[in-house]
Amino acid sequence: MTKLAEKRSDRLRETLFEAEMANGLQVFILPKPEFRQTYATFITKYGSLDSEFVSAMTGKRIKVPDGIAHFLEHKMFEEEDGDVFNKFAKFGAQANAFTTFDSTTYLFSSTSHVEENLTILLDFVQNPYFTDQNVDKEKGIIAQEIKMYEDTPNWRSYFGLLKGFYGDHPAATDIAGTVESISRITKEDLYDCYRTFYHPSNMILFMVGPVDPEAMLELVQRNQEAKAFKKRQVIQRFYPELPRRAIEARVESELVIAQPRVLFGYKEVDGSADPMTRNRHEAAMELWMDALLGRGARLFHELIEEGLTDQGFSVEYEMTEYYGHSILGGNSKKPLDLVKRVQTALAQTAKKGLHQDDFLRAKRKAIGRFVSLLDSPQGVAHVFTTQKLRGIDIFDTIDVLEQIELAEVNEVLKKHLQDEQFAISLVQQLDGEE
Amino acid sequence: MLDNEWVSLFENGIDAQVKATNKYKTTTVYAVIDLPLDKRTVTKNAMMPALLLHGTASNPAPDLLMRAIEELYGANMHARTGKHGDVQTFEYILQVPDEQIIGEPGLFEEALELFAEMIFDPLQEGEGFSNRAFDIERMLHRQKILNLINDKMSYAAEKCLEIMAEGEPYGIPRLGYADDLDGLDANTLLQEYLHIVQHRQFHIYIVGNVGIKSVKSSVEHVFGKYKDLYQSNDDPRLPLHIAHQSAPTEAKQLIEEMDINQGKLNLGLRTGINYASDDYPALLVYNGILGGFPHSKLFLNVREKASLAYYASSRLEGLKGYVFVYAGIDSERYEEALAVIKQQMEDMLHGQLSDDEIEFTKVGLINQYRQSDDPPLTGAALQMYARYTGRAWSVQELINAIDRVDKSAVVRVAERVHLDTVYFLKSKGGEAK
Repeated sequence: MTKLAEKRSDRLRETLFEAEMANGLQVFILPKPEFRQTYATFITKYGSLDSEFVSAMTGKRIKVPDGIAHFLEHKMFEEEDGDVFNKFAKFGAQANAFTTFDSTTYLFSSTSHVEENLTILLDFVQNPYFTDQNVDKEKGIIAQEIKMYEDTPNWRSYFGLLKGFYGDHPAATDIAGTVESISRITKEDLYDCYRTFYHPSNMILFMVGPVDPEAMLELVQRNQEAKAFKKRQVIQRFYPELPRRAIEARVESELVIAQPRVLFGYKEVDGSADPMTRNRHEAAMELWMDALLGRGARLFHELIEEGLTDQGFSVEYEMTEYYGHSILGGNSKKPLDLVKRVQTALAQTAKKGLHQDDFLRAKRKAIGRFVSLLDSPQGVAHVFTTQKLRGIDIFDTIDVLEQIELAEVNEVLKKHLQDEQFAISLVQQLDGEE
Repeated sequence: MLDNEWVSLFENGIDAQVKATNKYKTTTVYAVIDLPLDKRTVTKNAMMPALLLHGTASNPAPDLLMRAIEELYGANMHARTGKHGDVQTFEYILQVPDEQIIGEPGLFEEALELFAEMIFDPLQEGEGFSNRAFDIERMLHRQKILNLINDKMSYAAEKCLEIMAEGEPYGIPRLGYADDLDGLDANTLLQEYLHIVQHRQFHIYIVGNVGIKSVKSSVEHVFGKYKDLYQSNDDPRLPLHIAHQSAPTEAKQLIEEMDINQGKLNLGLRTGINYASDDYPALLVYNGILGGFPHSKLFLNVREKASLAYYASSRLEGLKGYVFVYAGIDSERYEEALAVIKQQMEDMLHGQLSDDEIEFTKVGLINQYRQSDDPPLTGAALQMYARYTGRAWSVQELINAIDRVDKSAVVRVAERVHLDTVYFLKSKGGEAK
């Protein structure tokens, strides 16, 4: 029997259990005896970025249509003996799945029959069933999903900005693909992707809730040992080189909206291969962004008072293993004035440095918000697993935050503001409403 | 044990209840005032809570107030207006990280002081709210109302509701009307706000890793300072008009065009059954079978069988007993989608329900109610519904009642369901640029 390793934090009143199965699957269990629900996610390190790779089926390097990771996620819910949702429904579980740039997650939550539901989760994700007919049927559904997102200002402005940063690099490709690209997907493509990326050694199982870690581990182990997998091999993925500079300084589109929406930001010049360095860099970025433009910042309220934006104005930093970028913005009647105003303020702060009080406030807030994250089974499951796949352990967050110093944050801010890395995405109002 | 964990802090006076538990690492405080939802007052009432975030006597600017609260290890507070059936609410929320984990004794009481200050001691100019804050908030409020069009799914849902519930309080939009903003002023708004706070009962719920004794002393100490400002008893029962059953005539229908990629089809159904009815659990099951789950008729037939939509669901507004169906479809396939949806309702009326459909829906609903014990404020919501409808359901009672629902009960509900409104937001010829 595989042993569970235990990581205990007295301060956080949490214990994380972990183990690795013989086939390479990593299992993490966070018991929360006070909660009713068990929330389990089964995640593979495979997302929309992975469009070129060596197929585990043929050993050949292939390029697959855009949107296939997401298409595959939809198709996993169909089995020869019927719809997976019905299997979960029988045991009162809510099931779902989603795809990002670098991962695909399958999940359920339930307040009873956890063992049955966990077995369903493991079995359906490890049992692909694709036919010409069921692949074809899904195209209509996903086409509607794509069209829904195309009408959404947030989505439009977000992907517009990514286009500005990365051009036609997969980092800027719509996760769901296009109606055209998904029309080319075949069941053979899906099996190629599945066999390459759904090997247990490329996956994590995470559970949080009122569960007995030993019993869960035993179930997972029995389940995995009854299944045969090919020997694990290193997955060879190919990404086009990231552009050195932002590709387009301004990307525009139009929608029926009450006022324009603008997003802008800077892409990173270079990332780091070392997860610890990346983690600390990400934390430092988030600190200055919140200190300077969060709800408690003077500048945030000035932007509103000057009529440049509303309370929806927000800032975020995204960092994957391969690339990173800042995203700022919101609704604005004077989008270009807003951009200019923020850019000027950023440049000034970079010059004179962040105020110590603002820095400390942001740091305390980040610590408090991490503690609060632990109250959300869903939140902790998703943040933990996506970061784990990138080599980062979120239970180090408080330590990292406590170590970061002001000088380091100022340095990160200064380095981030490179003119040739800057882009704007503007969604204008389409004339002739209704 | 799912219910009965709330402890009342005071025998008389303010309605303050506590759920002491070490389940959470955040302490949550939620305060609410109930008001009738009325066309004449909705807009100004909706603006009031937002104005509170513009500053207080001791933190006289929005950034100073937010900074003061965020200093407390990212504590967070907010004030907003809510809409629940025919009731409008002022809702105030405070979240504070557990002071034991943070290692800062007194953190909770400090945050509670700011929270009470936000509610009772807003930044004033003469007899009114600050004029500057008022002007800014009025502009923002107008924009919030206009912004509804940005999200086409919500926009279509709101239009459907507007047509269906015309003339009823529930048909009034949560944020009110842009045109009514012009007649408002900072003075009247503050005076009316204080009047409401003084004349309507104030309910507070506190959930987290706190001791009953210490939290009682904190509430006494902090709220005691303002005790002349709020109403501590006398709950004027709010009239809740349960929608009268419309005669089964032709459904109202409206089709509008917009430059969008995906059409939005929304249906409004009246059931004549609501939260106060004995048949409420059967109505929950009816809605669940129709469109509440991925195993439901709508998901299965509109999405999986006909590939007409990515989303096709239904949602129950329990206080009113309205069911809303919504689907995102290709505009050319409107007739087809509408026919498939109507067929599902027809099938339910004729008892075409499998044992699995009924069973899966019941266990799905029971799972949701058990799970409702995890978010901190479910108990507060149940108490609110009890105040609004005069019917108190505990979670356990709902679970037991759902468990007893059988096919005949679902058909009995189906017999009372009438299609009231069909709203379709259609895409204008060609795709949006």
